[in-house]
Amino acid sequence: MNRLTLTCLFLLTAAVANAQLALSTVAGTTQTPVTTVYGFGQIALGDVKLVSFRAVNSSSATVTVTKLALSGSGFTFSGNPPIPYIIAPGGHMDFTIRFAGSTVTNYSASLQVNTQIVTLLASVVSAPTVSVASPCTGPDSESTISFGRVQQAASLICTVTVTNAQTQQVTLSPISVTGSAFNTSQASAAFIPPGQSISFPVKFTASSATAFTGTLTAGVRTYTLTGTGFNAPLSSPQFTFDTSTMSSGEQHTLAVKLSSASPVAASGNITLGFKPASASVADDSAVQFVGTSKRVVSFTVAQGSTNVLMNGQNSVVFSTGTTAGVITFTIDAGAYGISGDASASIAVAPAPTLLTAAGASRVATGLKITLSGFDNTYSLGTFSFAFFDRNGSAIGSPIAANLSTNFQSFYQGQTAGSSFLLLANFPVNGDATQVGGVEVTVTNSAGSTRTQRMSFP
Amino acid sequence: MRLHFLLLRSLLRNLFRLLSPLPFLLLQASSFAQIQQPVLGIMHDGNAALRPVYGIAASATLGGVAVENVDAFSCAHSQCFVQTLGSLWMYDSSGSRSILDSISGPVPMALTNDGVLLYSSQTGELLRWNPINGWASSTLPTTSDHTILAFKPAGDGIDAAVRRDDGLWMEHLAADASITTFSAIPEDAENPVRAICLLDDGYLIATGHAVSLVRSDGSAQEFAIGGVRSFSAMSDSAVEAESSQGNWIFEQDAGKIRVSLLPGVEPAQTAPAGEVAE
Repeated sequence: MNRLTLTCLFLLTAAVANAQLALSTVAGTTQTPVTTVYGFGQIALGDVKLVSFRAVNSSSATVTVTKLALSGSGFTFSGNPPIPYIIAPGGHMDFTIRFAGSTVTNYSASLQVNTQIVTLLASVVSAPTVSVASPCTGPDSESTISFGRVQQAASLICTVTVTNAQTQQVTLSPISVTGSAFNTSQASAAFIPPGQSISFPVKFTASSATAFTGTLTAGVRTYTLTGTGFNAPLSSPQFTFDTSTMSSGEQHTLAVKLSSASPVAASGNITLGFKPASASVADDSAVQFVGTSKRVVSFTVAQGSTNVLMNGQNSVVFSTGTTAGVITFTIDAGAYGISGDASASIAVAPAPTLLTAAGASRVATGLKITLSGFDNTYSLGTFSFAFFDRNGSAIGSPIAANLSTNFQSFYQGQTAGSSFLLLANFPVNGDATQVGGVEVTVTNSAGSTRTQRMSFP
Repeated sequence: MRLHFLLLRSLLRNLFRLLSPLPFLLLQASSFAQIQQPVLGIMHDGNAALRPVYGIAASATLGGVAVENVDAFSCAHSQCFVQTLGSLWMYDSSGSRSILDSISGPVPMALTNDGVLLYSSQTGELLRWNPINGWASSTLPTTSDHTILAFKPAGDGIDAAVRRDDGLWMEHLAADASITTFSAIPEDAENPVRAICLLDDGYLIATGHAVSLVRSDGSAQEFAIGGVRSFSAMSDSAVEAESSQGNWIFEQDAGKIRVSLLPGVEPAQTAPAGEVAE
């Protein structure tokens, strides 16, 4: 096949293909066929209008677009596809035409796609300007008027003002508002004398906690209306404890109420945090909500109620652990939010060692003393053992023992609290039965604790 | 070892200095002390598993699962007797276990100083076990209208909380086939007793809305803990009460009783088919 044959075949293909290109406009998913004339309509002076076109190859052969051109003022391409552009059978080519007129007059242009020619028409008209009063904002560069955030079930009315800055009277029509959350009482048309303005209200009602959109059409201009509904925050929580003073090694209850009825049915979490007073430990895992062994509890509150139910109960039990420090409860209502202080803290003060059990017994080789308890200061170390005979008389002076190093080693890296069990053996050479009892004094940085006299059985 | 050595040295230094003048007592040069994390006992968690409980009762923490699929248990004297899926196991303080007998379903169980007692109210057979003699059985008197809710060893028989047609009673069932009824257990017909636990000095009794401690002298103390369905011995001095509102520890010390809520666990997603987690 020689060069001449190839050229003829190409021209033939192009001629057939041009007849198979179908032009339409595209708005979202809607395509509207375009024949020989297309009108951009009335465009306000200073405004810009963009129209998307689509050339569809409805033939069974490939079509190559070799010409895509505009002639006439005011119309320009916006983001042209590269030419030549090959369209597969059933495929399409999209392009956008932008119109902006500088004077109040009629405009026309020719759009050519290969051999197909469409006349484009537009009319620039003088249009009044739209403004809104606070708390609304806009219109912005995207022609959006924002109503901002409105509490669920509440309404916000904004005043829209349309000003005619021209020297002749303007008929503003249509005036309309769309969107389920927006409405206006303004008539559908209005006359605005030169240099004057009209104002009318537009109402936004947030029926739910979500974003809403609508439109405001004022003559040739259309504006997007936006507004967001939100849930009102829960009122400030009131944390109530079963006692005002707490110590280590205790269990207490926490109840929470809202200062006023909840506007919605809400839920969230209450977390427990703990900061030890002693730098020698990082935490005390026994400080927790006891029923779940966790530091978070879920809560719910019914609409119209002030009762905060934690795990379905009016109160929740927590442990103060065995470490001095500050326990903090924080309520987090998530998207609902909380007004006021969402936290409450309680301090657990350093205290002398608390002995929960003490025992004295005889073993084959002597005497055995058992002490269990906790030292919430982690400073325990000084012990004093005072022995007594069977008549109750002291046997010499009390025996002091400094076990600070031992306890520091025991507490090293401890995160489960300060509880301890001390087993002290005293081998005796002699008649151990003459030892009748013992009293033990333990001392930490907060003071001393003395056991009752324990008898050796 | 270093901890022991330091403690020993510290104690000895003071002991010799202060006690050596005593004419009748001489403390030897091997005094020492140990510091441990206290273990409150063993608890039956909400997932039918046994876990050790550490710390003090009001601020306890839980250890990992020791035994799963537990029907009933009783712990004392550094031993635990555990009924799992129809078998009775003994666990010692080292964690080793041995199977003691095949039993069908939970049966009343009580601990002795060195072993365990099982009692069948249907046959009247009282099974005693200790590590030296193994199993031995004796027959205690039975009557058709007696249901033993709880018991403890007493002499050659048992003291038992018994439900009869005419109410709840404390009885002594002796090896000579005699039954001695010695006190009635008060019960409100509208709020019946759900569980009972015999103590050295009295008993714990649970109704739908409260737990009461009734001492041998007749004095009583009530705790507003509802929904308790069972009691189990956690250790020599602590009893666990399992309820729909959580598990509680009743800790006895020097004649007093302290009650605290035990730490809870998340409900298990699925019950494991296995029997023991070791």
